Amino acid sequence: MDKSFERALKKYYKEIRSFLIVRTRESQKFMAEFCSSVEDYIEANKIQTVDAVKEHFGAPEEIAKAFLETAQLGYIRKRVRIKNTILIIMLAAFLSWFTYLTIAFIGTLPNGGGYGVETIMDSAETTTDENFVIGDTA
Amino acid sequence: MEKYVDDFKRGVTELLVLHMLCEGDKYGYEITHAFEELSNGLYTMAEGTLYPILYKLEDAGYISSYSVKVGVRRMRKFYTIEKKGKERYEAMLRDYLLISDVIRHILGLEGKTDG
Repeated sequence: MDKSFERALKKYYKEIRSFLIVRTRESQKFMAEFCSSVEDYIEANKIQTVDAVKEHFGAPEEIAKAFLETAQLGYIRKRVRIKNTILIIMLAAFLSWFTYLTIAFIGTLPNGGGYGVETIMDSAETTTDENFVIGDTA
Repeated sequence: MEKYVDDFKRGVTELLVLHMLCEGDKYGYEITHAFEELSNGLYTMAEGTLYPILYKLEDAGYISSYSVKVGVRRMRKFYTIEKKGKERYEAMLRDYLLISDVIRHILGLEGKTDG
């Protein structure tokens, strides 16, 4: 097998792997046996081009699709779900952290974020109450 | 090829794989190649379809596997049928023949030859 054919085959296998969504023990086992089948086919038919291999075994997308459809791997779906959940949790954590930083930053600004105004209003109310209390006593 | 053909095939794939292994230990490429040869190219089975079925049968204990070194670094995995697998094959074959007869009866094809 010449080098360019070997390289093209490696690319073909890589493409199939990329369509298998997640790496599981079963998909790794499948890829090992698939590669062995391709080598058997190459040997038996004296194949010299990757196009002939693709013609016999199919496009990478079709191979992966057939595997995923037949396997109906509950745990593949589960792993994809776990992956998505982790992604959502990480995104939520990042958003919370970003919001916290933004609020903290606004808090450091002089009279920023409306907090100063609220404090002044509270002081005014206290003064009025005090005046009222004094007045009532008198 | 129409999708229903794939659906028909999917229903009997397990039966055919077990049948192949009843005839002797085989490796993946040997099984797909045998399908192609015995059906004169009319029944092809993609590797992506075959291997998950083999794994499922192996997990269920119907078949088992062993590896044989081929050449310098390659390992070839052979599948062999177990007693439980033979029983499963016989039960599946019985049910397949029964269903096939019923379908032929419904379609009014009894006594007619195929084609």
